[in-house]
Amino acid sequence: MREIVISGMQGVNLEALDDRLRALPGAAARGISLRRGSVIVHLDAEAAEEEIAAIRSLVRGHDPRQLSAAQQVQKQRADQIKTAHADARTARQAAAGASDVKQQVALLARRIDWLEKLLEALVAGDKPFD
Amino acid sequence: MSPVWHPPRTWQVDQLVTEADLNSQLRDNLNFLKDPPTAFVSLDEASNYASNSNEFVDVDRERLALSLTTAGGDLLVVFFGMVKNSDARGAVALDVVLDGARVGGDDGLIGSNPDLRNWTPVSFCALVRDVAAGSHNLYLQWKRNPREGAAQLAAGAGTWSFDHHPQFWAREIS
Repeated sequence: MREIVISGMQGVNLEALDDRLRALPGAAARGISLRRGSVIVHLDAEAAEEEIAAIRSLVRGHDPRQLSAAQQVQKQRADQIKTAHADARTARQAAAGASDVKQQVALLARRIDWLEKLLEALVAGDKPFD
Repeated sequence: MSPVWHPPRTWQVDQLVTEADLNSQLRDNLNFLKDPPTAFVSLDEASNYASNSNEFVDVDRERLALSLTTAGGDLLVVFFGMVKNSDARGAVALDVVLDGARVGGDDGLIGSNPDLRNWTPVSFCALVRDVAAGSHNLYLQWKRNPREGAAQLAAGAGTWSFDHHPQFWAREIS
């Protein structure tokens, strides 16, 4: 295995950058490391020069705000939890004024929906309280 | 100048003990024992380290590198630090390369437990037996293990509540 070092890189989104590197034609990248402001790309020993040039170019153009597919799913889950939490709070306040059982059950279901989403996120390994 | 070790002599009856004998056998060897060959690194960096390599790679070939010249014998290699993996199922494996060969082999000397992306302390005290006399180089290596997420090492970079400073050092102990 060999490596190339691209220095002067700050605020790298390692997961997203790795996703894009592995999607390059030839997929010579075997992983990346971050050391003191540098990105180190670990490569197959037989990586061709044009593959290395493409990797350098991709790393130089990296935008840490662009999320990986997994990060997008995670963000979507976090947004849903936030919305469900706000709705659950509203439902809790409304429960005090609910006159019939049917209405109370509907409000309770909205609160359970938030808990269900929270549980799903925890099982998926998210940290919804961060 | 680094203390020099002289193999202890076997003394004979009526043998004349010279100044050179005393200086080498007592002074030099006591100095050596008081200050054995040691190489030490403590990190205080501007950013933490990270890697998602599935194979062992150097954490930092410039900073987490040790060089020492030994008299020949056993070497104690120590590391401690805080690590985590960005994936809840992932952990971190650590090893040391001594003169081009990994000391632990396989999945390394030690690994953290998958701990839901929390910072976790890891440390090892590895005894490397019968290291030949001479100059030696050691590097700390790591990989993510299993193949999930990215391994991270806190390097005194100001991470809130986890501004810890790992140490990596080696000392000849026999």
